Amino acid sequence: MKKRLCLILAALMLLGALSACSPAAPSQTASPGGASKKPKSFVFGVYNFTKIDPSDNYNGWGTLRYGVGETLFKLDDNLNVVPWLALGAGLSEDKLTWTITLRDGVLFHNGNVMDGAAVKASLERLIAANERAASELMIGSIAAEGNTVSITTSQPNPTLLNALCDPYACIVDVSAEDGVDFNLYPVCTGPYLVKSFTPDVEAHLEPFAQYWGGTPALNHLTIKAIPDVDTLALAMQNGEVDAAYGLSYDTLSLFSGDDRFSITQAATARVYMLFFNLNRPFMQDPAFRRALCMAVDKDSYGKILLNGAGTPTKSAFPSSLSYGDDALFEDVPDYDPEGARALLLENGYRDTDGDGYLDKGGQKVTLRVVTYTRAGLPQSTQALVSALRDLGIDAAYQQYESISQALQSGDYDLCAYSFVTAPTGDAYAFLSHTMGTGKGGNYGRYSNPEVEALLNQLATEFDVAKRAEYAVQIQKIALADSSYCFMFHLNMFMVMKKGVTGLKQSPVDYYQITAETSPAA
Amino acid sequence: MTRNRRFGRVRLILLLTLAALLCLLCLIGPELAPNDPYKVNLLQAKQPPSEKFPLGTDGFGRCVLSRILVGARTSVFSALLVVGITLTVGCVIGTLCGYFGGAVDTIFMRLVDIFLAFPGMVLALAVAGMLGTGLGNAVIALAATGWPQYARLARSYVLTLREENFVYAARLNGQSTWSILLRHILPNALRPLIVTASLSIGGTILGLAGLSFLGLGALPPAAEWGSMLSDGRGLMQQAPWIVLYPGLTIFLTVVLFNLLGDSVRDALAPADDTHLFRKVRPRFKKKGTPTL
Repeated sequence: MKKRLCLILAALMLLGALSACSPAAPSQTASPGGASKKPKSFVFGVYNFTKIDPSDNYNGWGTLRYGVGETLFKLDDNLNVVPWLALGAGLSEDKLTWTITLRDGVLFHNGNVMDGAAVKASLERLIAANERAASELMIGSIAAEGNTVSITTSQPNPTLLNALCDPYACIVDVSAEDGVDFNLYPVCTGPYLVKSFTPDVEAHLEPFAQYWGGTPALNHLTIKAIPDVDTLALAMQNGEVDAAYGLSYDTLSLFSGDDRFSITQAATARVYMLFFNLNRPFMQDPAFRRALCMAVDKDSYGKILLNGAGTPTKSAFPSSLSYGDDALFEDVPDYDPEGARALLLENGYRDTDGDGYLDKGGQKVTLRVVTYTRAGLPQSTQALVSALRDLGIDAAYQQYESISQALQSGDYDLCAYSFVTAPTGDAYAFLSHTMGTGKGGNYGRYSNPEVEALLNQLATEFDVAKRAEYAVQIQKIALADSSYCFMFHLNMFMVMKKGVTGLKQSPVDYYQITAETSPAA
Repeated sequence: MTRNRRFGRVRLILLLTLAALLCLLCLIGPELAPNDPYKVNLLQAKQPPSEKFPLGTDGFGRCVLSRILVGARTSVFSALLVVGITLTVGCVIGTLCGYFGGAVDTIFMRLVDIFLAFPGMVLALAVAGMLGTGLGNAVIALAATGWPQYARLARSYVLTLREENFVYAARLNGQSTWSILLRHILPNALRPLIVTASLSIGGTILGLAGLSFLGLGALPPAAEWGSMLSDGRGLMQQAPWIVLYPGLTIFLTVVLFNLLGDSVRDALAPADDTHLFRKVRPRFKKKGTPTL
């Protein structure tokens, strides 16, 4: 009797468990009016969910990506600057004052009009809060009159309009900030406004009915944070999200052959690179750095570890840009492990104590290699660590969720990092940020007076051809002694359900949700 | 001997043999590995099981079988080390607390209470998180959180044992405190502790693999079963063998040690009385009844 009871109970529990595994019932019942009345909701799964005050660090990327904010100018698919909230701009003869005409009829999410005064206030708020923006915009003063804004720069700034495309330059209504956390509820001009925002979990957005660019297609937009890329892939596969951004490159093959999904891809200026910490003893030797560069199998990393989404490069910039052509950087070594071994030997790196690792000056060659969890970076770094160990270098690998603290502490020899090198369609921002002495992104502590002088010239040069020439020269100097190693540029992709429209991967990686984004019918 | 006990003994011998074979495999694993477990060869990445790679290759083209064989030493011996440390530390603290009592006992037992109030794995995660990544730190984290159960168990047995007549007899016989602890108390308290330790080996292997899976244990490219699972989980659908075989290895090893623990417990259980453990006869009894 007891046995039978146990069996029945076990069967009931099994049934319960199985029913929990069955597909969930549709959450929305069909409306009597038919499909046309069905609310258009859209769930966008992202692996890196950021707060969205555009002036705060890099949070503006989220503001743009989620369709909340907009900038005065934007970059087209060829990285050319085109007007967005502005209609156009003119430059004074002394090359110091830019007069920007604003688009008529643009309203903020609270109904206030976006006019010259509002843009002035927004830009002033930005340069007060964001050091990077202040140094790139070089704004001396701003004057506003009606629908025009006149920006006078402290020195001729040929890339002002490019810098105004940067996500940090999203225009916000400063008058609405009193008591409101703009990192959660910024008042901008985009097609969607934030209804609720739970950091690192999800954000719920609603359409902005008075959007200047037409009525947004969605009734409800959810941005869902799924930081584990494998979980994100599963969420995409089981239909939990309508589109996913930031998926691992390993998952490309899962979606490419499946007609339930479509993939949008674009070649981007996102480069995967190595920073050598030039403060560390072995890293101060250019020959040693060159040998490390020769151990990087860029081609295989791009083809195999990134499923073909990585294009090997010698330059920081993609070959589509005039200053990114690999042919200009002939001195940068190719993958040559045997050459690397010979170079190390030639420069006195030998295994004198027979422990299997090289040493020099009685010191074992030990490297601490760090990276963080961006798709493809850990894999490339692990393969590199293995290649270094093959060379006889005792390389230890560490991966961080957030690497900024480790980089600030300086406790590393080699760091694999990823940057968008032309975020505003110009070379200056990246070169200055990563190669300028003491600059925030100069994680290798690189400093070269020649490069400094060229950066200063690049900062004020208006001639496009000369700008390109300076960009090439700066890279040549930095690459001549292997102070940097650029591995590959990335084709980025988003996966979405078949039939999703108005969503495509942009070459600059920060234009995603638009007023036209719509789910599958 | 009853039939059940005879079967239990055969099972124990069988499981002990298998465990010994596993330990032997851990020792000679690197010699048995058909390929270099650390050799990255991207051209051979994600290959299904074949003659050259019997269990396939991982996302870096490394032989899965070779990595399992080499990782066995790390995974199993690290777990045995954790159990050894926790057993020793817990046993010493518990015995001293139980025998001497007083302030030391109160302080340690409150500390034990605090440790036992948290789920073990959560506490280990916190400790490993504070210490940083690395297999050594993972071992320390698990050891730091594992000793209280042994301390509590040892103390409870010592509390009972110290009131036993043979302990009084030893005292009256003029034996020193350390001699009583080592010769009369510890041998009697050790048996339940060994049973607990043998039962926790499997759990510790899982714990270590779990920490490695979460990136707090063995560092890449070290071959360790948990980190192999972690490395391969992104390819679970495209190349299932990368996670299937390390997972299966962990499963079988944990089952083996759990069954072994059960058998040890059965074998050490008293057959003739209802006490939790059978007392080790004090040696002086052999010489005759002590003079009281």
